[in-house]
Amino acid sequence: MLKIDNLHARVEGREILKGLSLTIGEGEVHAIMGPNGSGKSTLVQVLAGRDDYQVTSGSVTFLGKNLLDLAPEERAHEGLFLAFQYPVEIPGVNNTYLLKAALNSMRKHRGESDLDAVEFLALIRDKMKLMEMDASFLNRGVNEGFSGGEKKRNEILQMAVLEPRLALLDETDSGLDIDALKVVANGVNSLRSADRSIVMVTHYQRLLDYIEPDFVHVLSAGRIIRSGDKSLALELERRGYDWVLKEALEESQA
Amino acid sequence: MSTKPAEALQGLRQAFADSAPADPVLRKQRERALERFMMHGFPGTREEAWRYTNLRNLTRRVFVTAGDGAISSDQLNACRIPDLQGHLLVFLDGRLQHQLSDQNLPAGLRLSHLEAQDSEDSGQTLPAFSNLNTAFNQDARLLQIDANTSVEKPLYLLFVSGQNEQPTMLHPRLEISAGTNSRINLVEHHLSLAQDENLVNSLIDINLAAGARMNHTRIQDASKKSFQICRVNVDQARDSHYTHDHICLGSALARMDIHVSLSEPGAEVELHGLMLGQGRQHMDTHTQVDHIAPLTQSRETYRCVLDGKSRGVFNGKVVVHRDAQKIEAHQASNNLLLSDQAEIDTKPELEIYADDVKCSHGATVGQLDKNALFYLLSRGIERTMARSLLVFAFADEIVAGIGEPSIRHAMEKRIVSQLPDGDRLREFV
Ligand SMILES: Nc1ncnc2c1ncn2[C@@H]1O[C@H](COP(=O)(O)OP(=O)(O)OP(=O)(O)O)[C@@H](O)[C@H]1O
Ligand SMILES: [Mg+2]
Repeated sequence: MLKIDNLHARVEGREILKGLSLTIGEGEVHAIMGPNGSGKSTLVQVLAGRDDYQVTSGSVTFLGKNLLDLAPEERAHEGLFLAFQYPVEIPGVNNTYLLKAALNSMRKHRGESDLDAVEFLALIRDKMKLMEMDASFLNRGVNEGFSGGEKKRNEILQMAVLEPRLALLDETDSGLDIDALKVVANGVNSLRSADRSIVMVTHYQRLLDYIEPDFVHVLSAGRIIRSGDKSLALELERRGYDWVLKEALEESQA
Repeated sequence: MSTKPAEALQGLRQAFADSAPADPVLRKQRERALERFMMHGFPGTREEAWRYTNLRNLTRRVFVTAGDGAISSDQLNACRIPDLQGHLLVFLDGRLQHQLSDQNLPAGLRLSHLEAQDSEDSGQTLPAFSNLNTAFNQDARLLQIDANTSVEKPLYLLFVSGQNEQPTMLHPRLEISAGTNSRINLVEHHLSLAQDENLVNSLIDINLAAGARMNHTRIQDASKKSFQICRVNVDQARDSHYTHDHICLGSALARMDIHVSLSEPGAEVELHGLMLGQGRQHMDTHTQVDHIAPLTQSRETYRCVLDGKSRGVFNGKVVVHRDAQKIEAHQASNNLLLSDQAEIDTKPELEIYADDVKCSHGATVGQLDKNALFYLLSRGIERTMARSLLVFAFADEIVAGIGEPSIRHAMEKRIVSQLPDGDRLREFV
């Protein structure tokens, strides 16, 4: 599905990603953990095509295509989806417009015709129910005045509507209360399938209790310094990051 | 200071000789106005109020006065706001078209000819274009709303520039007098039948008696080669309320001066405006609010979206007079530049002579929000469409405030139609 090889990226002259490699197979769920400022959001934003970041070397292949050659909207068309750590408020652009424009744009890319108003509404109602969101959210500006948790829910709603091949969830769990976390996890789990992969950036084991990852990675100072299965997350929860960092340092010095 | 291009002034004299009325009193009045104009000529960029707006292109032309044009009802239907159910008054080339206008205005609403237009005796120096209007206007009208009259349906004033062979000047003149506790929604819509290079120089005087409420929507969607000069003077008595929504789309050069005097306590004014410039369009709005009496309020929100090499000017002057305590005056000017070559000059001007006041003003100038754009792109929305969506959202903050739904929808459609990929955005408005 996705192969990242020795990726280097900088922002405002500062190197953030320093030779990051990661491979994600079809249907897999990966969790990326790591200290604040280690480059997790940078990684997913680079993958989504944000142009503040310059990729200085390395390669990324997504479903056989050179991802770095594609514009952000083309990446979305190919099936990439990023749930933002900080979803953007866009006053004046109605949530329904956004969903409709995005969905129709995807459908156009796949050679399908636009959904008519009835089909579209039926689809949205269905997905809103899944996310336990009130219909009144549809008529508000995108994320405008949404609470932190509502914004995160809205991200997963969009994901549920767009049905991506690869979903990058950047701290979708932070800011959620316990019930909301269950709803969001339930939404994500309902989208798990053999041809859809999920990358979750998170700080907490709690999310992983609900969405079980196949792999867990630790990102530090712009590199994946350790990978393991879900037991790695449990160990991090118990022991913190120090020991991984120390071991990684020793390895690199050896 | 000002500019006196010989050919243009000669042209005006000629036009005056061709069109001046036979009635000696009226003629005298108009001659005086013309002479006052001639003394100073057109305003030049060394005058502070015209610093950013150069009338070079306007003063290079010689305009003739309008003849008797004609407009078919099909033409009319094609250009009027389709679903606006109102009392329609059609002015073609400055003259009221009785056959095309509603014959029966509702009770309490009276339209008559405006006599005695020259306010020279008041002692104040009048703006150049006001003098020009007095010298040349052709079908000046007085609109009166009787006390305690609520005019339910909007009064729809459609000003159409007809098909003229030569650049033509039109000088619409309207005086509106709203009686005590009257209510009216006024829609002023300017457009052109052809891509003319006309000069439209409107002058509107509005008086609101105590407790009167007026919503005044002005849509300027005239030929993109025309010159649109407009001055609105508003005088507000106790507890009156005036709302002004101005959507500026057309013309090569547009200049709007709106001057509101809050003369008695409790008077409130809201001024909203949107200027959408493209190509080489130049759009200038000057507002002045005089808080003369205590306990008065003004709120101004202006937005400007400039693309291509267009240029925008916003100057918002607020004067709080000495005894005008406990007033509120708020002003916001937000501007979006879509190209490197577009330019905006925005400036608040506050003169405050009272001490117990609440005043605020803020101006922003920026490009499209990068974060918002990236967010839309990341959802698979094409770049052109994403940009248009954001531009529309920015502009719609003003349009959405228009009370009359049919105008709101017509304006939203109109704005979308001139945005790239607008046809695909249409379904969203
Ligand atoms: N646009 C930017 N300009 C300047 N510095 C940036 C920018 N974006 C990221 N950085 C810096 O890059 C580093 C990595 O940031 P990033 O957001 O990727 O961290 P993170 O791992 O997601 O952290 P957190 O767990 O706090 O979300 C930080 O030091 C951050 O300050
Ligand atoms: Mg982050």
